[in-house]
Amino acid sequence: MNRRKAILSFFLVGGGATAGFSGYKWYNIHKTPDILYLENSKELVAGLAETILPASVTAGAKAAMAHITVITLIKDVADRKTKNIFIDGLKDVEAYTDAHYNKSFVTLQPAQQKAVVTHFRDQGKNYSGILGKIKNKFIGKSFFHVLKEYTTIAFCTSKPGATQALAYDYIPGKYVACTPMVPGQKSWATK
Amino acid sequence: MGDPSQVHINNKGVAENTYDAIVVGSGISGGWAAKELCEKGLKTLLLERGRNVEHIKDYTTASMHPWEFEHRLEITEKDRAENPVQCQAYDEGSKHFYVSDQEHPYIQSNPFNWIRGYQVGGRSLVWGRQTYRLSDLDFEANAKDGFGTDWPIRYKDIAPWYDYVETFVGISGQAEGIPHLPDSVFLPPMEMNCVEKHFKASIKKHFTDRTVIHGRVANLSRGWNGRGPCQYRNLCDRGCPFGGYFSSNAATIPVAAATGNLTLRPHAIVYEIIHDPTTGKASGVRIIDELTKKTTDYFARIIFMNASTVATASILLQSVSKRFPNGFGNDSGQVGLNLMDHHMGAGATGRYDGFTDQYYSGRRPTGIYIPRFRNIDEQTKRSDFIRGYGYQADGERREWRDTMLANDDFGESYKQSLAATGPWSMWMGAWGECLPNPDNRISLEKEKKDKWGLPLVNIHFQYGNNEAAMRKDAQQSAAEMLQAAGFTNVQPFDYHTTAGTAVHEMGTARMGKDPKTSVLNSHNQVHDAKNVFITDGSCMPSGGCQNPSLTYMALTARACNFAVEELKKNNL
Repeated sequence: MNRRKAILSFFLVGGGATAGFSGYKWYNIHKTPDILYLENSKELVAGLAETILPASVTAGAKAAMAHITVITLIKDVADRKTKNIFIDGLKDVEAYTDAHYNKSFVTLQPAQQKAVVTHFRDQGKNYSGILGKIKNKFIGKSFFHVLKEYTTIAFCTSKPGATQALAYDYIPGKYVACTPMVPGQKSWATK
Repeated sequence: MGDPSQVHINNKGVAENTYDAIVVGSGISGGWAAKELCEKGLKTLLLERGRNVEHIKDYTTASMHPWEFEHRLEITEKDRAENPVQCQAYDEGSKHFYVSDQEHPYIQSNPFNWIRGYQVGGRSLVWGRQTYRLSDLDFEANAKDGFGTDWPIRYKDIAPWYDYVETFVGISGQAEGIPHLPDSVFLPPMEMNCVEKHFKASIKKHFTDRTVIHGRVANLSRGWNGRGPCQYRNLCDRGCPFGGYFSSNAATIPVAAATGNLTLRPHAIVYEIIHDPTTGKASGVRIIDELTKKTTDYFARIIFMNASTVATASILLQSVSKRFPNGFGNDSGQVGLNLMDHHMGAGATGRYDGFTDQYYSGRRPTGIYIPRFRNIDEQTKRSDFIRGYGYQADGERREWRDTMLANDDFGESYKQSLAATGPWSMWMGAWGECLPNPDNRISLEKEKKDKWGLPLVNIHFQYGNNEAAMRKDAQQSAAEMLQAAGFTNVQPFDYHTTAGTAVHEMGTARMGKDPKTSVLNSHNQVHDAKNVFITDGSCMPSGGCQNPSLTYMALTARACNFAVEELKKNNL
């Protein structure tokens, strides 16, 4: 097997467990995902992704079109459980901002958006230790973690993300095994 | 019907379909057979069940950036549903070099990942490229501990052929003089980074029985035979437009074609070796065209079977004749038995807090290697298992993919942390020997057919106590080595990898000294049909713990040389 794939599989821990959970929670995770809602939420996903990885001296998630990729990845790559966590999370975000600000997320000020994402992050905090592992396995990651993970993948594999925020070398041509870090050195976008 | 013209047409058909040699399969060993036989002047027909893949031209994803892939190289839900086995090996950039599980089903009596690439070049396009010689520690193993049957050859028989193929392939590595992991003919090694050098020095200091060496790899550290050098993109499994690594497509097939003696026939699914009762030998092979499903017979004086381990055994079992009622060359009943893989996915990871001001540039397509150190001699003898394992390892700095969920930060500080280079870490995983065991086998499901009407392969395979004990030791030993070298957060792991995942299937038509207990002799000839040679992984009486492709290549070149000598003597 490809060495790199062998190494990667260690870091990407798969889900796929089925166990005796029942009732509403089980249904909620395994229901048919509301893909239409997801597809109609481009602005919302863009706003959330930009909150995770904002524009600075380099392009942010929105300019990198990370939200379009996040939607594609949630639709095609994520398992059903993760799809539902993400889509339900989007709905929860809208409900929360409506209740607390009487506005939709995308019309909030950046500081308010940050406060909303902070709320969802804290709400989704995992139990520590074995309880957290069990929760992760059967219920899945929190909405915040799914948002952060997919936004990061989408951004770091985008052209602006890879070439501006990170260091990207298309055809290195040579291998330098040990080289001193230089000021402002960025980490490599690809392995 | 007695129509003379029809007889004439038939005769012409036979003549048109007759070659000096037929090679079944164009992967890593079949490419070598085609090259050797063509260079020796034989008109050679190379049969491949899949499509043609032309070097460079058909590497459609080779130059794509990550952002040019719709799914950014991630495996999709559709992949997992439709290709549950193959998708464990491919990504969005290499998927087209793997079969579709739906189109090519097989039965798993026990879970076994049968990873396949049905195209010209086969899996030589996507192989891991690690290349290590076997030694007499391996060739004598069966004879010494009684598992499997004795190899009919020893290291001295194959050593010149290792030299021969390595001189053509181009292998980066460093001579070390380790008796049980003999040196190859090397190009300069691909350097170790600072944490790997530190690890090597620490192991030397703390362990007398272990050593850390450069990964030996069929990637070219300098230009070689008109190919390469490697551009350090580490995108090998998409096919390399620079010819930076060895594949049939880049190396052996072009040389075979340049002789003018090669006929390449893609879309040709060989399903039977034809036995000629008058000569007692094979007269040729039957194929089904993959696309038209039309059958055709091809004839030759010699046949090389290089379809890959499981496929070669299944063709033998399908080839039932009056002489061979249990399958071609199967008087011993051994065809299909003793399937082996290397067990993998046990080891340890650790973090290293030094060298924070050091990095690397370029993406080296290999790592480091820790040769086997168990059961080498009396001093290293274990009571809990026989044989051994080697580690492939890799030191690198943590980057965005490794650190993205390390904490709950988000916003600008998170964005900055992604660009910051994380701590050094090391991954080390064992590739271990799997004992030959007749219960690990393939059989044919005659009632269940694929879309070409051929019986499905059923794979029966389970690791035993020896492999389990070895995996336990591999975790502990990896952890103790990392700890001795000053790594922190050392975590042993066992992925409980499904058998077959190493994609090193071996056995099922083993060589041996006794025709009663083996399928092939010391020259890879079928005992009872000497013009059929089998030189893919199926010939292996034992597997060692080294990545095996190099040994198939050497055995193939050796058998080709022998076959042509025998042809000249009119012995075939």
